[in-house]
Amino acid sequence: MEPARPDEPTRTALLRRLHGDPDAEAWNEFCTRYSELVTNYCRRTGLGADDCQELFQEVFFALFQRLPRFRYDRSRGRFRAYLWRVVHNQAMAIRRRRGRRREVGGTAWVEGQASADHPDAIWEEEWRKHHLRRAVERLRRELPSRHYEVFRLSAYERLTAAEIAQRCGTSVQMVYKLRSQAMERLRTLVRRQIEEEG
Amino acid sequence: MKGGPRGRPSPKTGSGAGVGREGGEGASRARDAMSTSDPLLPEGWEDDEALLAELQSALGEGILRDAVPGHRLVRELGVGGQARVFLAERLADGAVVAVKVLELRMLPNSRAARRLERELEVLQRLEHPGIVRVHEGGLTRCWRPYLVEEYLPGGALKRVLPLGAPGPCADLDGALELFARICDAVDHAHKRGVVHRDLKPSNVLLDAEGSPKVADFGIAREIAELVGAVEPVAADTVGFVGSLAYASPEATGAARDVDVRSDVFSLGVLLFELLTGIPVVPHDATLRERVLALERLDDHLPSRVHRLRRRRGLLPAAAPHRLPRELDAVVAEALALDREERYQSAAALAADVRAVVDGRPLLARRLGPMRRAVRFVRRHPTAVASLALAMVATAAFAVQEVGRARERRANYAWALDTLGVLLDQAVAGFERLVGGEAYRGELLRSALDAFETMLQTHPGDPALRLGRARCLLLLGVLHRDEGDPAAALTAYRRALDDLRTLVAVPKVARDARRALSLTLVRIGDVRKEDGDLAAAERHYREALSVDQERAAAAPEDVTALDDLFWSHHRLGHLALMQEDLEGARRAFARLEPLADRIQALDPERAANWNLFFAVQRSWAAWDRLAGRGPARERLARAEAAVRRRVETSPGLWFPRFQLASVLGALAAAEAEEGLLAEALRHAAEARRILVELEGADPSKQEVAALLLRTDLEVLRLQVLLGTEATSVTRESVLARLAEDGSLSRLSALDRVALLGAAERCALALADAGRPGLGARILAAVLEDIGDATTEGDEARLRAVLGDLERRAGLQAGGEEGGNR
Repeated sequence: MEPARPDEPTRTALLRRLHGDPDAEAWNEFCTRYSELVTNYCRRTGLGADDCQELFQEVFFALFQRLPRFRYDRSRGRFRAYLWRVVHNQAMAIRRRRGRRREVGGTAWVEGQASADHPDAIWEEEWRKHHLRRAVERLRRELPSRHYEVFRLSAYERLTAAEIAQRCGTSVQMVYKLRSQAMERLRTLVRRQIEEEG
Repeated sequence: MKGGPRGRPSPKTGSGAGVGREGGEGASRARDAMSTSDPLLPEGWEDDEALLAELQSALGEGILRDAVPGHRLVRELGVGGQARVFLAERLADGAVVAVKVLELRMLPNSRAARRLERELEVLQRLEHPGIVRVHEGGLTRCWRPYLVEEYLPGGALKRVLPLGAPGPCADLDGALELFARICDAVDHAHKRGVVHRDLKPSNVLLDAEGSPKVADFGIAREIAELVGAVEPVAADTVGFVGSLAYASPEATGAARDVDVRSDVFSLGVLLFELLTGIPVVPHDATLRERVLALERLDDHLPSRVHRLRRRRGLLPAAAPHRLPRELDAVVAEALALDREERYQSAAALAADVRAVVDGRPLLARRLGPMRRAVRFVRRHPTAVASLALAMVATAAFAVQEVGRARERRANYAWALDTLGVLLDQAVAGFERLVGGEAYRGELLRSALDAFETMLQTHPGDPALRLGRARCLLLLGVLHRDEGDPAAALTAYRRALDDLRTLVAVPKVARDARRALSLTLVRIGDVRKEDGDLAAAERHYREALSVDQERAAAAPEDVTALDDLFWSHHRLGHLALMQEDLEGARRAFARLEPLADRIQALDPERAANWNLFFAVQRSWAAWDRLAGRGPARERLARAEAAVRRRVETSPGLWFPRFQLASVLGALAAAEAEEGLLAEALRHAAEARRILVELEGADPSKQEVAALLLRTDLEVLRLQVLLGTEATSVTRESVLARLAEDGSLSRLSALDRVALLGAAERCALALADAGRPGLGARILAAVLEDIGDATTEGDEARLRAVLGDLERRAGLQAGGEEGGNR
């Protein structure tokens, strides 16, 4: 495995730091990593915006309490699964509370429109996106800005190679080359992330 | 509840099972990515198109496009260190705005979030044509702070455009007006209690007409600091958020104490860059390097702007506009390290910039170069040392880079140049400046360290060895001045070892020969002061032969001729000490032609006075020893020469010391001729000068020695004249003598001279009916430094002392009474 960049601790290292003495910096980093994933998941499982924020805080709180005892161990289960359990439990807890309150009022407890997908599937999909976002973020920092721009125009704007070549003042072949290099790097980054956290 | 999403709940997310298997090291490597099935990669991601499609949904959908309430993000405009900027559409009215989303998070209702709200309220109230309008702000769905701002299609000044570049900075007046408008906008915010704290080119946007608009007031850094998200710019800047290159010293200091004047400083950096086309400090400098570079700038700024422009060809002779000199003063005042000395507001800076445009007088106080230098030394007792460290650090870095860099020669020469500047400063600046003594040691020691370090990576490099030898030579001089001849000799000898071999290396031979000559001369000086005249002569002679070779090789080299002059001078005086009149005459006869030649080659040279002074004094001493009567005339001529120099440069140490010394000699000559009143007048003036010099710098031992001798002489003359006048009292002499260790630091030569003066003074006192006082003075001197004399001399002095004490005993009653 390639060595991690010094400015971005690997998730394993991050979890090790959280374990024991969770300093504020590590925690902030942790929130930055996973809040989008958690929020997106909650939204798709049918929680409203307020519920999502509440759940978000609950999940953080729960992780904060448990992580000092949580030993990160690749052989015993992936972080992905662990996080999902925490998130799922918290979502259920919120629903239960909400349910009791709503029962009094007699209205449905589901506020948002729940996805038809199974929660597992949603989590799985969001987890993939999570990996992509992290990898792209890292790619953005790794690549020279012109190189990243070619990738960005492909991925965000879905421009054709010819359009990109025109915009960046380079050849179509070059665009293909840069783009495929960037994609290859992206895959490498994703593999590494998956190896680390599942 | 299920144990986790391990299963294969839907075909779409089938990668879960693949992930569950440990694929082995090889599978994770990029080069294997083209294999059809990659166990670590989610299904379908081997294909570029599939991956791109999923990327777009991952990046486009959830994260940002619906993240900012009431807005639709259209496309990303740019990414900065701490924020992403999007072009967005306001859903309510379809207006095009810029949305800035910061790359950090804060919990709603946290202290940071509440602070953000308050900041936003202030920002929304800033309405000025030169300030980017902030419409609203808050937290995104993912709790990132965002700001909705006016969209400016003109983009930001990525870097400050140097004057003359096409665009808004094409002409001087236009560029200055652009800058003044930036100042106006910043001042508007200041008046409403908002400090920008991160002024830099990328925060100055241009509207469609090319007018500047300042963005990002306070907020970005404020938030980043609140959340504790700090950018690791460099190892020594942990905790600092923002752009180092434009930050004021106080903003990067430990206290982080920032006010409106910190923005004034950043504006000064912008102005400097606007005028010179280069940043004040390199953008990639570390915090330490830049602080030190700024300190150096503070001292040399005024001339720097012009020099840089000329060097960079930004000041062509045929330019339609000449850069007014006044701008230097404006830049200097804006960049003052001490914010009390800066413009106190952005408005004042803008006013002066416009005054330059209109040709009106400035508010900025311009400091003369000398005042600046003196102020610098007084104000920054440690800055000098730090400055040296900075220069040395940069130079050391540059030299280390040498091995790697292709432009080896350029960097290398630059590094050595830098160190050369450092050394020149150590010598010229601080050796000569009154009160500068204290800094010399630190400067030299850090320079020496740097050379040692560099020599570890470039062992044997002749230029570095030469640099080290020069440091050692200067350090030796310092030790000697501090009264530690043993340490001085050690340093000289180390220098000598290198120099003797370096003179054979063609690349550095010339400089090495000069350093060799100087070192030999200095060793000779220490030897002479120790009384080892034979050793002194040996070293002087070797120096002389080196100087003769140098002068023969370069007959127009003033430096070589100057060194040759002083070698002859030293040998002549050494001969006088040995009462070798013929030898001294031969040596002194060389002096005047050399002085004339130097004067002819370089009439502007500041140190020429010293040559003519030395000629006169040398002959005066010779005349005296040769019994040709007192040398009053020659001494008076020497006095006139040095007095002119003192009057033109009152801040220099050396001419003042020389003046005191020649006045003392003149007084002695006059006293011998019986002109006691004139002698006393001259001796008293010498004393006054020496007291001033000692007050400015108590560490110079030659001042202390001469002052004591002069004290004794003044006392003697007062006694001879029968006046106990004002300037010296016997109490002050006795107190000075009684000071612990005040005499023990004197060189052997000075001790002998002092004993002579004490003896003369004591005898004069005795003859004037004051043998008791004479005895006390002589006893005090003998007690401290009697061991410096030969045994015979000491016995004689003891006999004199015994005689004085006996005479004092006879009239004890009377004298006691007279003292009261």
